[in-house]
Amino acid sequence: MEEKYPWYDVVDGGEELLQGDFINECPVVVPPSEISDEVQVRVFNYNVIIMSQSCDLGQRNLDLVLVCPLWSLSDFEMKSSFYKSRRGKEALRRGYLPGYHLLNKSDLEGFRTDDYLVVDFRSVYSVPFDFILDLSAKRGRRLRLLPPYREHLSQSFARFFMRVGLPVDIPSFN
Amino acid sequence: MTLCELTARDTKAKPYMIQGVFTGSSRKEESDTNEELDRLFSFLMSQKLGLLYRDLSRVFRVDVSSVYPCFETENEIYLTEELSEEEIISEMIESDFIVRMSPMKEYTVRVRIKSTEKAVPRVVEPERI
Repeated sequence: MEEKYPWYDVVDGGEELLQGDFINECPVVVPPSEISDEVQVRVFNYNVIIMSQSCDLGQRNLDLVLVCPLWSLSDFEMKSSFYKSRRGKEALRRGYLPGYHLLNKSDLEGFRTDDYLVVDFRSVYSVPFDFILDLSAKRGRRLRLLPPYREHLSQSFARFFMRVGLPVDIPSFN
Repeated sequence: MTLCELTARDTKAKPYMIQGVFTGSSRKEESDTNEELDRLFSFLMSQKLGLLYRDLSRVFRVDVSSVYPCFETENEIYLTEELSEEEIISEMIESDFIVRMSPMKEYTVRVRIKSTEKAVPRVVEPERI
């Protein structure tokens, strides 16, 4: 049966970048604290999802594109017993954990994910626009998160970012 | 005896534990069924594997109030009750739910710096002002 709101689509590598596009093995360069004539830089490879707004990407109003790493839920389960529990997974599904956002499995041909995916908002990286444009073109076809799930992701990111840790001066009601 | 002469007397029926018949629509038959189930579960619990059958009766939904009697598990996915918001939040408070994931791949590269420049702001002018 066809889904009413499909989660994903697959687009060609040359198609313009949008928020919610997946880039596999995107390198992120971490510079050293001091710059000299010759330095050693660390490079991390992540599977990422684009977080910058589609309109900014479309109008080329950006030099840097925001990306967040994504992981399979089973990766999280291996790192934390909380996510192994039903309560942890339910908390993630219900959106109680502001730093993370759960995405559905993909069953699209060639882009099948065996597991749910978790976007990590605590590790936001920016990569040069031209670089990610070249990289996505070279990588070929890619997975794209579709509305309304794309907007849901964006809203979750905003909710995470706008949090303010204020003291609660009113004593609790016992 | 020929094949044509085979009658009910010649066949042996294997006795089945639940003797009641799920056919009617009266409350009496429903309670009879429950009694039969109680008997079944108490029998199972009295066996060596009794522990495995403990509380099993709770997961069954029995409905004999219609002409289509129903005897199936309460829920195909979860056999336990829905988690409440409080339960989840209390678990979140107790657990360290921030996970620091290592990158898929990590390596170092040697870079020769050609030049350094002072950054300049990139100004994006609004279109309709």
